Amino acid sequence: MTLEVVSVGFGYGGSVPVLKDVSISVGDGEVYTLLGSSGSGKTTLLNIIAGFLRPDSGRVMLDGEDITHIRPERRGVGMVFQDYALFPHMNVRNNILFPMKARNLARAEMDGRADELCELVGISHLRDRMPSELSGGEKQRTAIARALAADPRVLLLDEPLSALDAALRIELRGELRSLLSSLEVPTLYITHDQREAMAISDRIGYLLDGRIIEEGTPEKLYWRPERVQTASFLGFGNIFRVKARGNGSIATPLGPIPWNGDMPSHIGFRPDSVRIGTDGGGLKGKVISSEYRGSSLFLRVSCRSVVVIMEVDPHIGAGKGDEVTFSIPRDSIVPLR
Amino acid sequence: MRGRFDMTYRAKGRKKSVLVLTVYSILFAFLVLFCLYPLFLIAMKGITDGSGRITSRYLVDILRDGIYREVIWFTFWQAALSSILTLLFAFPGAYLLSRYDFPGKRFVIAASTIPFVIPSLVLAVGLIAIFGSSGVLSSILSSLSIPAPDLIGSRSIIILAHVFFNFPIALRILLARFSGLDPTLVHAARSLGAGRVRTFFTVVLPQMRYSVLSALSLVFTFCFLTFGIVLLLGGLNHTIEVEIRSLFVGLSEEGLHHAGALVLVESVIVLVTTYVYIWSSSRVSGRAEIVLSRPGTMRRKISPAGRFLVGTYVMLVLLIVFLPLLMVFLGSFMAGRTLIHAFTLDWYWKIMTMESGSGFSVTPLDSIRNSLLFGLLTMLLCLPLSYMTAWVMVKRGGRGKRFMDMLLLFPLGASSVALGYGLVSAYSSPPVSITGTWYIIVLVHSVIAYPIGARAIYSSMKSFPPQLERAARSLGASPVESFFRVKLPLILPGILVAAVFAFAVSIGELGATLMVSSEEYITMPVYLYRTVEGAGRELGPMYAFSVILMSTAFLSFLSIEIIQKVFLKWGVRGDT
Ligand SMILES: Nc1ncnc2c1ncn2[C@@H]1O[C@H](COP(=O)(O)OP(=O)(O)OP(=O)(O)O)[C@@H](O)[C@H]1O
Ligand SMILES: [Mg+2]
Repeated sequence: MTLEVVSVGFGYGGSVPVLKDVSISVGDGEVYTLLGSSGSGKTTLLNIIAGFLRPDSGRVMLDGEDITHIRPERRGVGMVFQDYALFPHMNVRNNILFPMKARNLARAEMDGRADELCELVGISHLRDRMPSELSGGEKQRTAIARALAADPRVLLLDEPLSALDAALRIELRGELRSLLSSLEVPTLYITHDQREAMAISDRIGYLLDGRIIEEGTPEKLYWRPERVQTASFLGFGNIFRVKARGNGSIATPLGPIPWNGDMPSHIGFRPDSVRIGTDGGGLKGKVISSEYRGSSLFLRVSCRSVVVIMEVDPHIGAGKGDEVTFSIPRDSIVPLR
Repeated sequence: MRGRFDMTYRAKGRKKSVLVLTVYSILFAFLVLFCLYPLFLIAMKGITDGSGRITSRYLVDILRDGIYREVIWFTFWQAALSSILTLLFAFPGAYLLSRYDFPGKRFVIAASTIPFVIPSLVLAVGLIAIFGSSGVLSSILSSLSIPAPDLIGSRSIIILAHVFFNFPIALRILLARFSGLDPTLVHAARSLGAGRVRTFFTVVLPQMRYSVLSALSLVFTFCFLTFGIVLLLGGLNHTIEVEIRSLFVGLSEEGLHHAGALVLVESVIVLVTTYVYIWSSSRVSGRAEIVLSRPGTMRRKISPAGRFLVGTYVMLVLLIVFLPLLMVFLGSFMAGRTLIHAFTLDWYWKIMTMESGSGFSVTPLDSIRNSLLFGLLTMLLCLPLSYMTAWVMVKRGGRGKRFMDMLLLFPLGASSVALGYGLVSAYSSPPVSITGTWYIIVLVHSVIAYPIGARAIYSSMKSFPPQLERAARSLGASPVESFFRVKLPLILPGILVAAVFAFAVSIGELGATLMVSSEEYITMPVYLYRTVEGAGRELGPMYAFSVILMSTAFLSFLSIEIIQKVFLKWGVRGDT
């Protein structure tokens, strides 16, 4: 089973369309995460795939079948909503039974399947509770169980963890990861939290300005993004414009570096790839500010005409005003355009 | 296809679905035929002379002539005074009720809905039982040899009745807002160093202003359009509605033109006040729902002083709501004119066995049957109208929305007497002749009742999260299924309230019914009115008949409560 979104465009009637040309393909059992900042149109895209909105252009295909004009209830698209959308007048069990009743399954079969699903997401003890009596995490599990009860051909999850607190979010995302990868359906997962995206997905697409500007595995996007915007969204604190110098090198604000291959317009490196206090030949700079963040120390160091952000071992103990020497490993420098 | 998509998703403004347009057309057709056109006919009388030429003569007349001017002025100031007094009385109560928890709070709040369904006529009879020349008050006073004032027929009794009748409405509006206030704002103000009083005036009160305005304008509108209370209690004091009626009944050509002019003046004022009402209530933020007690809100332990205040206030509320009804009830079982007399069922017996004749062409039982029937039919006609109105109000956004809403809810502020008379004069000759039929009564009751129901359904529809319907669809439910299994159960409270209102309005309506009903189809209020006005004013049957009227209204209210309980057994817990 594959989900394909082909050149979808959509506007709410304002001057600028929310989605301009979005194409995505998610394979069987694959978890594809759509990453994008708030308001970038992620929920809009899900609504198009689920059939609540009709795209102005483009198609939605499921397993080679064009479902763009099929009614929501006939699509077999399971959706977990941003705020779960549990039916407040039904208890957990009846919420889960809802899709099966809609399909008129036999009673015994429904009950068996409901128990199975409760087991799967670990809410067996909550079956008789009303949604108002559930915690955020329990609601989220119920919503997933309910979506799965419809035997969806594709699963859409709209920021399913965003309503939870940070600790729970981290705990649940591991769980969610193993649950999702055990399913045989393509999953489209939405978030604007880059760490969550890294933890949960097989592939990530970055939605900006109505287009997927870049996609790839978490490792690739984390270490070797190709676009300036992706890099900056994914925590490349240091991105500098560069110029070609001829004779196989480029000019950066931190000095020239040898370069072969295509000339990038920018280069970038992650704060955690900077080495500090190393042997000679490094760069020198002055610390503007330093800030502890748990296991690491964040330094903003002014060097030549720019500020370099670095994440270093807290034992370094550099404070404001200190002089530091540092170097940037050549292989951590990524060309960007 | 397009229509279907719009039903599940309020998408692009430019895609106005066919369905919305259809519903609009149905509603406007109904509105124009049975409300706007009849009223237009009457209003035209006010600005044309006998030969149909436009003239300002009648308008000038009513503004110059002492009697008419007096009527307009009286209508205005009694409404203003009544509404201000009502608010002054309701405001502290709403504050106390939102702030303190005490046993029986649920009951007090439930009791405050009773005046919504009890016909104003019954209240008027109740006040006669208390303040009348042979009422409780005067018998108490005369046993103390204090001369008792006869309040019936005075202006004060009108205002008193209005405060009695409208105060629960104001209380509910204010209470809903008070209990919806974000308690953390108060906490923030206190922690920023503002004292209690300062916090109240700078943080709480400003958030209440639209609610106060909306309660004030609503009560003003009701008092301005008052009819039954003034007719029964007001003696020679006429409000515009009562005056219009006597002009219509007087049947002089000149009088009709003056009535038309009065309707015009009245409509202009009411248009303004209903606009203020709709505008201000749309400004009230948060959910307009009474929350009994929310975790972590302003609930606090009651200090002795607070206990005294709350206690006194609760007693007053109960007194206001129940005393008139109680007096009517007791009176209906008393053999003599005062309360000290023996228990009897004679009055009820008399009603059951009374023959037609002596000024009536129907028996009391006939009128009861008529009212029940009309009430049910009105409910049946109103529910789809109210539902459709609420539905388009929710669906349609954007420019001109307030104007459209206002138009849809227009009958809220229409003169019911003029509406009744207008219907009769518009459709009394072929091709359309509905005068004197039973359905003209159902029609006019529905016109009057459906906007109230629409508002009830609207507010429950608005708090229905649209993504629930989408969730249902994505889980495989068809539009029909998702309506019946998800949306309907959740908006049912609003629908039931609309049903009770429709029934209650029909059961209690007097002004329009007096104008449209033929002898054959006399309803309970008309019968009651004639009994009160009739020679001799025999109090016993009047009380007994009021009790029957009141119980009917109350039973409908109760049965709906029960239906709701049964349906929503599994419903939204922790809510009201
Ligand atoms: N019904 C609507 N009518 C008009 N504009 C809308 C509507 N729904 C969303 N928008 C606009 O479309 C854009 C995309 O909204 P969408 O909800 O898809 O964003 P999102 O990426 O899901 O954001 P978030 O991460 O905050 O959930 C936003 O600018 C939003 O204001
Ligand atoms: Mg969203």
